Amino acid sequence: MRGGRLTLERALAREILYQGYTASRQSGFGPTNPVRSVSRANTMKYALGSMWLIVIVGYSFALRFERAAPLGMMLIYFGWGGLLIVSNLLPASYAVQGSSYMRDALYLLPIDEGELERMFARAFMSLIDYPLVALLAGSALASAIVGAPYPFLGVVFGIEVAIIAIEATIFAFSSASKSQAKSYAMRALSALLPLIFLIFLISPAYFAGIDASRYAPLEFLPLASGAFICSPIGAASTAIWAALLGYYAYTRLPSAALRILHASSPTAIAKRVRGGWRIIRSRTLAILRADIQMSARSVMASMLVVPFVLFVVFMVTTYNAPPGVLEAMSAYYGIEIAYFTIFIPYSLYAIEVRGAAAMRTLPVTRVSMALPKVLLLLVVYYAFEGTFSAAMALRGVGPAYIAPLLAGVLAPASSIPAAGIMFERTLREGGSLSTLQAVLNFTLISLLVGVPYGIYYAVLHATGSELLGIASMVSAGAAEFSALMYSLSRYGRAPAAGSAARAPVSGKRF
Amino acid sequence: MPVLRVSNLRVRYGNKVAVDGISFQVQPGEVYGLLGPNGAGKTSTIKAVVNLVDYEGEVDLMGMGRPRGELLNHVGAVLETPALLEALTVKEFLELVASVRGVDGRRIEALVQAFGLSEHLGSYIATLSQGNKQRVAIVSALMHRPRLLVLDEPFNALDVKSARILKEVIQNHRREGGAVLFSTHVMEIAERICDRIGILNEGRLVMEGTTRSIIEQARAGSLEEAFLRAIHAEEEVREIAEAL
Repeated sequence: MRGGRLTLERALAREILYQGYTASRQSGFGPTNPVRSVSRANTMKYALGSMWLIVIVGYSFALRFERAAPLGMMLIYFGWGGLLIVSNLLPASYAVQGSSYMRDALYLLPIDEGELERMFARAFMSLIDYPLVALLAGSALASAIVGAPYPFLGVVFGIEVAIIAIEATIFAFSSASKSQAKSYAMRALSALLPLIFLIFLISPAYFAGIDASRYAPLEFLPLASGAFICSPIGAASTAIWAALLGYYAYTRLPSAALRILHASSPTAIAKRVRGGWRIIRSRTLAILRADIQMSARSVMASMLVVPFVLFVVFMVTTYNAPPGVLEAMSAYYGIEIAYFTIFIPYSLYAIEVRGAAAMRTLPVTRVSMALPKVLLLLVVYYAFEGTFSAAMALRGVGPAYIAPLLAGVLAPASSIPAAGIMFERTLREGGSLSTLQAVLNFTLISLLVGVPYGIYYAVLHATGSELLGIASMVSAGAAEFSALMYSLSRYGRAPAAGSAARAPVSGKRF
Repeated sequence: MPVLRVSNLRVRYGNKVAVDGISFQVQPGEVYGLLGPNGAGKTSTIKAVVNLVDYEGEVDLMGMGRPRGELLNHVGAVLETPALLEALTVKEFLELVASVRGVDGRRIEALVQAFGLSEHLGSYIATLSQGNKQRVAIVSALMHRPRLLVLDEPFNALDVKSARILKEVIQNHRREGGAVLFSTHVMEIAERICDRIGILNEGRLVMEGTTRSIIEQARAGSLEEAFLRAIHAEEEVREIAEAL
């Protein structure tokens, strides 16, 4: 979609991107920049496609070296294929819940419904044109490297299943669009879609070892049949399943894409509410209540299942693991869970972008906006790490490995003021950042969160003292958190004409 | 002392200058109207006043500096496109605003009933029509009885009854010594409500005064005529009308 003549299909693809990715980011601050927003989505498509191409080819060397089992290879490449397609199409599918602008504009043109359906399907597919090429070419190359067709077959099944899943999501969004509550629930559920594919990539060493040869009935199942491609039944079964899934995905696409044309915002249902006004005297608690209410209705709600998924994956993948490996995996999963919690401030700030102007007209400071998020993160962090610590204890991991995880809360907490500063910056730029800036932001937050953990391991390695390691980690986390909170409070502060400090305000009648 | 003093205000978006060094004051008990064609800089001026965009120059509220932090308890703002927290219901949003501003339930109830929002308290803000969102924004701007009301095209999406109620609220606010800064492009509303008017064109304040003084300055027969003269559009309008 770069350069060239602007056809109606290209314009539709841009509009789908704009509706899906950016329509919900209007902030009321500066003017939003649709050209930049659409360009960012396109850049992401090319960047992710190129990244995947490199990763899936590179991965084949490791699998060849490890002598991965056929089904293991298929599962991993199924994960890579499906994840890329879902990552590209899922945000665009939110356009189903967008506005009716496209319908209003297109129905005024002399185009029949059939032609519109075909145009929408082509526009929708153009969102994954480059990722498809990258996946198919990369997996073909990977198959050549491992000397077997499994990576290619895994990717093909991954693409087909991902497209069918997205189509199902669009139909579900479309049917839920009359109720805002159902729409919120659907969004939360749909956010779990990438997890179906991601699960095969969380612990590749485990999946690579899965050997299907002992379970011959698997050759009749989709995906698994690919592992038996050398047998006549396996080859036939694979061909039939691939063709069936491909045909189903292809034939459903036009009607799924057309649902976007009939997009409509959920309608208001006037309903009386009982009870009086629940006014909270503490501003922090009032904002915390609103944050919880909003996050429960966002895609973030689905993130709450992630630690439990990791719990199950940990229990399965550490089955029969030798003690040294078990401890190493505990640390890996524990820190991974901590990293998941940094999505909380990021998501909450993202939710607040749209209503940010309303919040800024209230007498709240940036710090008082950040504090409720700190509270929420504390609760979620200990719920997550508590569950995981129980899993570790059940597997016999000692307290020396559990304690650092429970003491490390300040590391992810630092992501809150950091996200707050980035949020301020985003608003100044009209509620939309460049791709490079978004990637840099997230990299920076990840590095900030990693610093206290890094210090813990460095001190532990240097001194051999667990206690000293934990103390250093907590101190580093506290210093980082305080410094960032201070920066947030001072961010973008221009000298005031008078002194705002001498303004004791009652807020009552003047 | 003026409730609001704006001096040499400049707002830029990248290379584009939206507001180019304007100055004005709003006194207690005064309704000051910003008039201008689309893109004249009205909304950018209002956003600067409530500290939503970066600006150069000075915005001073009651001699206490730029409106931010606790000072915002003296300001109630309604923006042209009401930017509300859309994942909340109307009741949840108003409870949040009331909690942060320290307002009691009786005051909100009275405003909710006055602006006909009782039926929508359980609705998600995302599902409301533009008019109802505007009413939610108005209720949240009025609930703490602010000293300065800042209203950007407040009558745009309102029905006749709500518009009338808002006009009454503005008049009462003025009578009680409050100040109002509001923007509009509807001449009749400006003529009826404003004590003083500032006409903006291409980011500059090209004329300022009472309705009568502006008409006299422009040697026009009406505010509309004076406005078109001030933005140098009178001739263009005549030519277009003749061509059509």
